[in-house]
Amino acid sequence: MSSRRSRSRQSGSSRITDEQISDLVSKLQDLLPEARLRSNDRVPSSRVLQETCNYIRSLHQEVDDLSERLSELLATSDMSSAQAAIIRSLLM
Amino acid sequence: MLRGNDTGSDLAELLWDNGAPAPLRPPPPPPFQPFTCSAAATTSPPAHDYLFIKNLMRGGGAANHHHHDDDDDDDDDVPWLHYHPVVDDDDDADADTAPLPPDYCAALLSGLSDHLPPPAAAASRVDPDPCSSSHGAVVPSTSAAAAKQARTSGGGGGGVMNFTFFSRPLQQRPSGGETASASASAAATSTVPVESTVVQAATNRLRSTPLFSDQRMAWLHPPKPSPRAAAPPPPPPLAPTTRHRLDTAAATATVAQRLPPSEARAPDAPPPAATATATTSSVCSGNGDRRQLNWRDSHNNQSAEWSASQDELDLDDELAGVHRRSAARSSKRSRTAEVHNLSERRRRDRINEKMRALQELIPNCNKIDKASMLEEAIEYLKTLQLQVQMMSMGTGMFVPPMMLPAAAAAMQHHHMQMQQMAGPMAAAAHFPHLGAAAAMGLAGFGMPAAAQFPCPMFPAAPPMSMFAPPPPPPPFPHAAATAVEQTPSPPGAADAGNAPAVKQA
Repeated sequence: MSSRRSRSRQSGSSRITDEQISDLVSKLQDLLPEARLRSNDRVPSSRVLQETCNYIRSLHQEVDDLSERLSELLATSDMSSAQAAIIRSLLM
Repeated sequence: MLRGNDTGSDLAELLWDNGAPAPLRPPPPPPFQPFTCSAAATTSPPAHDYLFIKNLMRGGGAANHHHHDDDDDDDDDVPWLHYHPVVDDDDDADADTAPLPPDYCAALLSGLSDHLPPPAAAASRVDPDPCSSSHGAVVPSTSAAAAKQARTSGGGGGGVMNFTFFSRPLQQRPSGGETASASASAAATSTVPVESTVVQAATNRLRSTPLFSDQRMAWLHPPKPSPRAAAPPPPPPLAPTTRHRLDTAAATATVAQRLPPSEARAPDAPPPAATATATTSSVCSGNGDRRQLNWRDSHNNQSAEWSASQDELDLDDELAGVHRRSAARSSKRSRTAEVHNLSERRRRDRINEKMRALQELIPNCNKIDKASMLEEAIEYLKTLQLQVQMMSMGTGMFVPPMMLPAAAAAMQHHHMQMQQMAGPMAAAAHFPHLGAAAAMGLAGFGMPAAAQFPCPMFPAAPPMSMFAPPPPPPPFPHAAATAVEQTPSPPGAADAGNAPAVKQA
């Protein structure tokens, strides 16, 4: 009786956000590298989100590696400390 | 309407509504004459019978049950009892279960004819009034001993009637339990009685023998009303439907009251059928086989009643078939709905879990709703990708230490100039200090290195060679020289190179 009506109302209001969310998820999926989701057909949202999390982690890891490399390069380079500071502020 | 006995009986109406089918209209010659007689008597109870039942039900708490039924009418969980006409029609179309609808009709009848026959006078009973009066009177006052005595002492037709009338309400019980559970709105509990019916039906089918099917048919046909196929099943009017519900409720209530004495299973007076779903269903499912086993054991030495019990078993079997079929349908539907709900909930849980994980990965993300969370994640992902590109570019760029000053100066200039431009860029939201670098990374991909950097560090190299880790050494002296040469005046050189960059970015 009223439960179904409220259910439908609830689902009606959540359907809009469902559409929004699926739209955003597809946007997110476009940002992911192809190797992670190699299928043109519909990928479940949870998988997209999972891959996004993995991708963000891998990007964090990459950023860490690169910053380490950069700091090594900066340490071994004979530039002035001001320039190194500039680069650090630029890249870190 | 029925054998000229046209008292405008409510039962006839009831049968009309609940789908006593017509195809079997010409009844076979009844071999079991007492049954037909008593059955005919049962189908014409006076109107005050119903009043009595109604009063009984109102007193017994079944009015509550009825009320719930009405409330559930527009819900999904309408008790499948209401769908019986449709089911019967389907079964008729199946053509392999022709006698089922009369059985169902008998099941409905059983609510009234439950306590109809006192053991001795069942065969010769013609007057309906004592039936109705005994109907109510027997219910509360029956003790275990009385019931057992009535069961065992009654020989021939009387005993048979008793058993059949005892047995059918038991089969009717699942329907009552289903109705009550539907009104109790517990989906899980509503499936339990259904499955118990299925199990019971299966065991019954194993045991059943179609020995007395003719007699049962004969017994069942007289109460049938005029042809139903001529009049397709109309949407039942409200009043008969409610009456029918009352009738079912009455059947369940009386069974609930009668069961414990006959089975000695429930210790005290059972609750009304409308209130305790679990109790009725458990009693029903548990009693199904045990009851018949008991009866078999107690009647193995009485051959007449043995055949009667066979008949009753067969009846039970058919009834259980009807119930099982509709129960299977409804339970299938509810099960698929349940599975769907479950999978949907699981999916949402998975998504929410991933959302939380994503939120932990995104810095400064205190967004609550999913949409903004996802937007944030998208922006952060873009920013991260730009950052990684920048850093890899930087590592590639800064590997030759000689060009560091020029690059640094150029980048510094880019930084200063492009930060204003990159202000509205979304990347600046997360890494304001990276805004220039990100913008430069964007610009750097599309333009040659000469345009990107004031001094052509890699004259012959394509733009992407900036990302290759070690550039070839030969151009270095020249590049370094130009770089050093250009360093004192970065603004002008940078301006020259910045115009296209800005344009492109």
